[in-house]
Amino acid sequence: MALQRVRRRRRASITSLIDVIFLLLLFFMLSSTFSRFSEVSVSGLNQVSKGSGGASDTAILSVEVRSDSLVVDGDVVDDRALRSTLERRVSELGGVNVRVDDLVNTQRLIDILLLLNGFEGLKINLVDVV
Amino acid sequence: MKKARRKADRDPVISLINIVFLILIFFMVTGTLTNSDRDGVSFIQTTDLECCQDGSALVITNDGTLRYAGLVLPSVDAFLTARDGLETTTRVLPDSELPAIELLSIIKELRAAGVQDILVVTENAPS
Repeated sequence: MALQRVRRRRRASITSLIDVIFLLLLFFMLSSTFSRFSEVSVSGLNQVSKGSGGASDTAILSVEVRSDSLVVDGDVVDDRALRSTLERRVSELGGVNVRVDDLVNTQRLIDILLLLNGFEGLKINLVDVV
Repeated sequence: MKKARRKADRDPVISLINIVFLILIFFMVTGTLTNSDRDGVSFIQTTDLECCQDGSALVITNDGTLRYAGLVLPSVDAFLTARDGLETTTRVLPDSELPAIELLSIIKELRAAGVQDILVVTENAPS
């Protein structure tokens, strides 16, 4: 009789094991994320104030970012046109002056900055609005 | 007879545990733990960027509130005093709907305070 009791005690704990594993499983399912992060460096950007840009300087391309379009040197264009303009003129350009209007969100700004970052040696100036 | 029946009862339980263990290990290995600072922030989406290590970042929500290490901060100066002085780079995590002007003014303030290496954290969308 005594021997049998000891055996029973050893066998027991499978249900509590499952409980603990389920608990761990739930914890990891709820607290983990699968999204991958990346970073955009803004260290290379110059921030200049409004007057100092020098609008008459032809070597500087002026880009005004709007929420649905771009104004490049006074012409309203889309993103693809900016890319092709830059591809044509990148060798002669000294830099790009980027200006944002009030309605532009960060997503849009980063999209444009990444587009400009694709051209090596292009100097990007961010013009302050205020 | 009794023994045989017990074995038959226990088998499905063991295979259940095996599967649950498998799922558990899958989640432990593939997932990274979320940072509660980032609750309610919609990330800027980018594609084709090389990913890098994840660190603590200055979170800017879409109404311009600054959050860092679980605290709401009143100003950029408060962030500079609160953060670890050993870090050489400063990560900024703006909401994708935050007006770009506000992000630029915060970056300007950070620069004025002597911070050189500023990174904007984005989410790499699967391309």
